[in-house]
Order: sequence, then structure tokens, then C-alpha cells
Amino acid sequence: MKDKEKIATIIQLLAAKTEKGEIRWDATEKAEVLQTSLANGTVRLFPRSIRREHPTQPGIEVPQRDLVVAIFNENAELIDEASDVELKDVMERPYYVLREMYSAARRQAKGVDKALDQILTELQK
Amino acid sequence: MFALLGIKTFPDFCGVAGLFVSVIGLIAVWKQAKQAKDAARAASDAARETRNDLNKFDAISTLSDIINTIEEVKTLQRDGVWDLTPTKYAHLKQSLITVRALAPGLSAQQKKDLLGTIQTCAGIEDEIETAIATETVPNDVPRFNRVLGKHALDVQSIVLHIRNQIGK
Repeated sequence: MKDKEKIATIIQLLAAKTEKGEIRWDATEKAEVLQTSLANGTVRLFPRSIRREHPTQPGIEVPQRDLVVAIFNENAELIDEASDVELKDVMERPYYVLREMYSAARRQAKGVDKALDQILTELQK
Repeated sequence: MFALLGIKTFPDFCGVAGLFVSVIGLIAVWKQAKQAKDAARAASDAARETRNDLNKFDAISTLSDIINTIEEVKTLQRDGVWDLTPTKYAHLKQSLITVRALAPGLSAQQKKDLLGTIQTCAGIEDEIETAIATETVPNDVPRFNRVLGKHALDVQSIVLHIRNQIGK
């Protein structure tokens, strides 16, 4: 299995666990970066703005927003990273998967669901 | 009974009596040896527990030092004393890596919390190094301090967990 295929598998497993609420995402020192720590490393998920050539208008650059997964070892050294664009060949709909995971992770890191549930419980008493 | 044991003469009696005495002696020696072995095992267990408790005290000391350093870093960042912070973060990361590897009795989640703290420290250190190199100032100090404060609370809960394990 190549590195990008491994990252694609990691993303799919992380997305499934995030959806089930089985892993904890935390806020970091950067507003848009989220991280989750595993037994032997940390995964960071964040958007990255980049300028790319327009697909139908050569020579014209347009701003785009990639979603990136970066994997760090237990000493906080970067092991590998991949954006949704780089994963297109090894994964189905990578941007959609990453966007959904990022959205769920962000809600979890901010404690949105927990706070809303608590308010609902109090109001329903 | 003497007939059953085949004792007909005094020397026969002495032989059988000698055998009994030898067996009783052997049992006594075996019992003493067992007691000595049990005592040695108890001493070894006590030494292991003491060593374990010393490791816990050591971990508590390191974790308390980490919390203090986080508070110092927060103050330095609030005051904009950026030149001193990279060294503090390097020290923090080393202490966190060591305590994560050596602290006894940490749960999987506590090890993950420490890993998250290491990662955040490395992230902030990068931001500060970049800012120093480009002669700018990191722009989200309140966020740095808020995230560090959350990690300090994680570390504090680990201190309490280890403290409760002492003597157990």
C-alpha cells in the first residue's frame, strides 16, 4: 500500500469514528486547525488556501480552499500530509469526506452538540 | 505398634526414632526456608512498591513543573516577551515526552492528552519561531493562552490521578 493510499484509509477510519463520536477532536493554537491524538501520534485537519490555474482558462489563477490532513509522530514531527486534491486518485470524493469530517470535528471541538443537548434537557424539564 | 514398625530390639527403636527425628528436622528446616522466602518476597514487594511510589512522586514533580512552565509561558506571551518562549517550549516538550513515556499508571486517554499538549506546544513554538524570523509578532495570543490553559487543566487532572495512586 502506497503512502497516499494509507492516508486515504486513515481518513476513512477517522471519518467513521468521528461520525460515531468515538474520537475526541480538540481546538489548537490556530483557529481553523483541529487535532485528535491517537496512541502514537496526532492527526491535524485544516483548510488551506491555495491559488491554482483555472481548469478551463489557462493562465488565470483562482483561489481555492483545500482540506488537508497532516499526521505527526509522538514527538510532534510531521510524518506526512495530504490534501483532498492529492487524494483524488486513491479515494472517492475526498473533499466531501474531509468536509463532513471537518464539520463534525469542529462541532465536537467547540462542544456545540453537548451545549445544545444540555440546553434542550434543561428546557424540557 | 512396635510390631507393626518391626521394632523388636532397642537398636531397632533407636533407628526408627532417629528416622522420625530426621523427618521432623527436615520439616522444620523446610518451614524456616519457606518463611525466609516469604519474608524475602515481602521485602522485594515492598521495595517494588516504594520504587513505584518514588516514580509517581517523580512524575508528579515533573507534571507540576510543566504546569508552572505553561503559566510562565502564558505570562511571557501576554507581555510580548517572545525571545524567551522558544526555550520554554523546548523544555516543555522534552518534559512532556519524558513523563508520557515514564509516568506509571497513565490511562490511554491521559497519554493521548499529553500527546495533544506536546503537539500544541510544537505548533505554538513553530508560530513563534516564524514570527521571530520574520520580525513580526504572533497575532492570536489570547488563543495561544486559552489552548495552553486547557492543556494545563488536562495535566492537573493527571497529577491528581497519580497522587491518588500513591500507596496503592
